[in-house]
Amino acid sequence: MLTATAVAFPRNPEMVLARFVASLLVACVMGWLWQRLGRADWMRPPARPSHEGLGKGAAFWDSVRHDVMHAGGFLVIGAMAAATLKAVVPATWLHAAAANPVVAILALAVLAVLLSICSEADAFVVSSLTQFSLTARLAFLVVGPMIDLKLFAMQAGTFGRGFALRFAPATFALAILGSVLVGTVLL
Amino acid sequence: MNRQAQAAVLFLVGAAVLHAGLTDLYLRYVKAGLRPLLLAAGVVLIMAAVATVWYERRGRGEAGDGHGHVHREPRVAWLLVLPSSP
Repeated sequence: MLTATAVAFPRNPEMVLARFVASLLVACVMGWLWQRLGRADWMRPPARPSHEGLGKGAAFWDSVRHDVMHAGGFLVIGAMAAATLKAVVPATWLHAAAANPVVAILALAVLAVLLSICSEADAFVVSSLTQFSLTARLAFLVVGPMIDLKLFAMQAGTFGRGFALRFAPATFALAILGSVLVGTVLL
Repeated sequence: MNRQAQAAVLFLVGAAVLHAGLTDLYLRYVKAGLRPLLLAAGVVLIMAAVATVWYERRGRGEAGDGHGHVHREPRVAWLLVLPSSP
């Protein structure tokens, strides 16, 4: 992910450091926040498939099947959302949003959630949005891997809606805050 | 979604990935360098389908239906069989 960022921003190597620091910061703060404020009853622990009484081979292929079935369906939802957005939102909206620094950051953060791009590819997508500030593009790179439509769908599906509805907005706000902080210091 | 349906979905997805990887079709979706991974993923998916059917048959023979609960996968997995325009 950091290598991809370095390749995508050849003229701004500080972007790699900024992405690393901001992402680590947000992940740690989110963990501390959950430790202090989180309640176990918000989280519906996923029903683990039992592998008892199965041989090694059976347990292995059972896990493969289980994981493909879970992740695959949610992946399709994310792909459909991203494709819809790409076809529906006109490009002129982006130019208007880039003019205002605050709107630019919020717009790219929301875009990261809606587009749900893989974290190894997102740097190439956002590096082409040169009309946006580096901090706004950093927000895109920090928010995207932490919370987007497909991740929200997976969290809701795995831990229950009550957990996802609390966790996702907190992650979103913290990721924006973290990237603005790191952006003002490093970029 | 029961085990047989899951095996069918795994096989169909695996066959589609293999088909895309063995023709030039895959270039519409991923870069050329990812071809080996794509082919490997297709093979693994088909192996998973075969293994699911295999263990399902053997499991039924041994345990009968004294197996209390049947673990079903979520319905969202059915989205995997949606057609895509090639």
